[in-house]
Amino acid sequence: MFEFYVGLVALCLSLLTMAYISILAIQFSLIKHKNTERAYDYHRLQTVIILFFHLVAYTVLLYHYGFEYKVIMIYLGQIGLILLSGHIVNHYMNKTILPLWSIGQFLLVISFILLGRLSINLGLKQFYLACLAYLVVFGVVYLYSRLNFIKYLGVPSVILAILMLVMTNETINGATNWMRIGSFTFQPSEIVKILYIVFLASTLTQFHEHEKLSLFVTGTITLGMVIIQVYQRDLGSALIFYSVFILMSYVYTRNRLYIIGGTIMTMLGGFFAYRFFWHVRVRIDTWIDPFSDIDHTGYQITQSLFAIGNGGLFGRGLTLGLPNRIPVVTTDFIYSAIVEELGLVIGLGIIIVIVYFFLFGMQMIEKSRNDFNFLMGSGILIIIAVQSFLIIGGVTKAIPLTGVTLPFVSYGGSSLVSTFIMLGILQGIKMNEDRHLKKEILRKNEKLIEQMLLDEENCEA
Amino acid sequence: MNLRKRLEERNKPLKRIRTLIVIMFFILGLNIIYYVVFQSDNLVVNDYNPRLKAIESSVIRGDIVDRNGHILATSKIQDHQQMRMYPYESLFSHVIGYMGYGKTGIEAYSYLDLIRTKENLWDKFMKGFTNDLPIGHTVVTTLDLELQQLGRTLLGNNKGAIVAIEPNTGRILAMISTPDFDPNMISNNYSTYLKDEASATLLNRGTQGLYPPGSTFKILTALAYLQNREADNFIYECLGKDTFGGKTIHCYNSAVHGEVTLEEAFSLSCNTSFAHIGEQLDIDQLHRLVEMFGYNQKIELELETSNSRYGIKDHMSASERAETVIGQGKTLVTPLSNAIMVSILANDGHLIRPYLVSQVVATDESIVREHKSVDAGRVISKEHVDLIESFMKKTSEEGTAKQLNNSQYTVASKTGSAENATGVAHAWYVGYAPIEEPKIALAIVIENVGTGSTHAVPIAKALLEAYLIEK
Repeated sequence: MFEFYVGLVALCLSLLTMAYISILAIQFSLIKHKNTERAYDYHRLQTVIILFFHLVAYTVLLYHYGFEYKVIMIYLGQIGLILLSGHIVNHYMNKTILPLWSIGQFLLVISFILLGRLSINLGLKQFYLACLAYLVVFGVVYLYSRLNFIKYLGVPSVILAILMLVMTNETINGATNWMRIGSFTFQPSEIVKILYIVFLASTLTQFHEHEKLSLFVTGTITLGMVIIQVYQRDLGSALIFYSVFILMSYVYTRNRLYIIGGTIMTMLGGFFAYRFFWHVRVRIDTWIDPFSDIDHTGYQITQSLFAIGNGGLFGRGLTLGLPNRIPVVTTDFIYSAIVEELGLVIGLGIIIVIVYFFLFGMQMIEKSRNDFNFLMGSGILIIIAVQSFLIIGGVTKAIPLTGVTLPFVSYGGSSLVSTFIMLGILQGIKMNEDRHLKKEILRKNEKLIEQMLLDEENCEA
Repeated sequence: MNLRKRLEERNKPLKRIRTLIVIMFFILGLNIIYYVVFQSDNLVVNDYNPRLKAIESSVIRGDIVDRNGHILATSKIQDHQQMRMYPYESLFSHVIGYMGYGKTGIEAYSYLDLIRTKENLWDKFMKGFTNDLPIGHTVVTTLDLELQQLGRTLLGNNKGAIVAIEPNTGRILAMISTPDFDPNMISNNYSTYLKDEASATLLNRGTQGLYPPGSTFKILTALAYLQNREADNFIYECLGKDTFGGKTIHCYNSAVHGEVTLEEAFSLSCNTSFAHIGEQLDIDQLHRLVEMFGYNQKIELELETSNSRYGIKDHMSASERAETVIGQGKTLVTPLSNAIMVSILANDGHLIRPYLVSQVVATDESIVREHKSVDAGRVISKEHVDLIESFMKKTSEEGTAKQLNNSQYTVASKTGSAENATGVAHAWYVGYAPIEEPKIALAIVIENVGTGSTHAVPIAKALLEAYLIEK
């Protein structure tokens, strides 16, 4: 009986996901045709779908945990967070990039459900971390929209970034990319990503007259950071920085040679790394044939594929799979757990939603008149897309596995906070631009009135 | 206007990156669809998958059938529980094996294939709404029901084993081991079988029973001899017994064969002649040859196999040497190994690897996997095979297997009476027929009954007649 209900829930969740994506598609075309107000009318419906999704899934979890008091409180808390954050966004954020906030919320709810299912304590912690992330993000939005000197902070941020990278002192899952202060650990690379984007956008806009020189300087520093990360065996972050730099230099110079050169460099670098770093070679060999060493190097990816293969169209059903047997399931491999229990439809849904995040973000960034904001926004969108691609592709054996987190979904404070900061910066960019636009219009109007007054005086005279 | 143009120009690269990202995520989606929809069945059914138990109960295990489609093992749902049924009861107990109480035989080997399914998208979709379980693949074996039945009847209450191979393909046609058991009742009787060590009911004597080869080993001794010497030069005066390094070797029942050629010594299975050959033999060469024929090597098969043992070192005393070359001494062989030996001869010296599972077929009758015969290469020259073949033919005409002499087909044979600790010899028969175009190679062993001529040859005769004439 319970299994039948879970099956129904799985079907229902898949349908809700499809409905949610349809709304995104409608919104996208409406905004494209400059019908922004109508697009935003759908926002309420989106929130209703998200809440319904959350509710349906939590009925299963409630039953699974025997209607424990704690689970009920977590559920109510999460609803509170969804409603409150939605309210703040709606009323204090100039109704600007609502689809982006909604996508963040949708992915966060999937994260709440999956982590709550894996372990209720993880669900609770992720909830606290999400509260923290929202607090931080509203601060970021406020600051970014008002402070105009961020574009001069390139040098301090890169110094801070390198310091944070070098000061990592904790090895978790083979990579030395954690920092421990007392009992508190976090992943500096998550924050370093943002500092790096600030540095890149700032340097490239400040020195746009010396295009080649500024690219040379930023390129050298990027290379240094990539080497540090390869050394720390954080190949995922290294790849992110590398590809972000290539793509950003293309955005900046509009010269296709950078993409071509970057691709050639990737091949050479990959070949070099394959030859000389055994841990790179192991990853690539494992990617090509994980089943030949299923006990050892191939263990993670094959366990992930078993879970994915077990999913089917609508999943095994929430709580009916064995996602706890997937290694590192709460962070890197959370996507495999989603496909196993919630199914292919939701798995593909997540991919589509992430693509929409990029599309909506670009719709907004395109209109930016400030080059620094433009580069910041592009960088953030590229980072989120590349990072999602690396981890989803990695756990599904489309590309060699590199351990990075899935934005908005993976467990962990560093990841969640940094993803939300990026979302906040996108919102901040929009508000910052709007303020400048408003000022300009005001100034124009003032000038017009002055002119009129002058004309009147002349007339009288 | 100017501003818009500038922005458009600036946005161009980002637009291209957008296209790139959409394409890459699209490929990502296709890859996931590939794994979930098309690879799921092959991928998920893996020993390392912790979900195997759950998958197992969501599938009706497939059938195991013989080469003609007779069902040897099948599954039925009874009271919401899957039951494994073996319609022929004890007939295939060792080769098909059993499951439920651990797994053995083909049941163990093909375990994953039997729970793999082939479902299209629609089936998968409907699975969510109905209670019908999908059915796993059917495993088609090379076994021949009728041959197996006949062989089992012929063995009767004796302990022993029969292995029949189709030489040119390597298909195992029959594999019988007695005493046998009813796999339907294994859970009731398991502990009884385990306690009765003397009967060793659970042991598959065909692949794991280790017997002294007796005179069947003379095939190898003769081959080793032929590698250095001409057959025509051999002549020996058999007096029924002779002494080699202090050890007296008797011919069976102390029969006196008189003056014999190599051919006669072979077909009459004259021990003293062969012990004499042993004195002249390059023992290293014999060692190499014996290993070429698979002794001391793992035989690759779908079932557990024991290695046939040939444990003689370089410095062998004269008595050890004499015992070894006539198939006594420390040498031990499995019936499968002996069957492979004669099928190598049947194949003019080529080893074609034996196998039991020929096909895995999905419920829609499409072939999932097919076993192709593997020629592992030449073991011995055709010239030598032809000579030995003529000796073995003579054995069937005038020698120890002369009961097989008939006008319908030619047979190459060797019998053996392997002496052992219990006092009564194990009866051996190895051979193949018809010589011109071999269709079946046989190895038969019956424990503690006496000579191969009297006890194993009649069984061979019945099997060959049934297999070669009635078809």
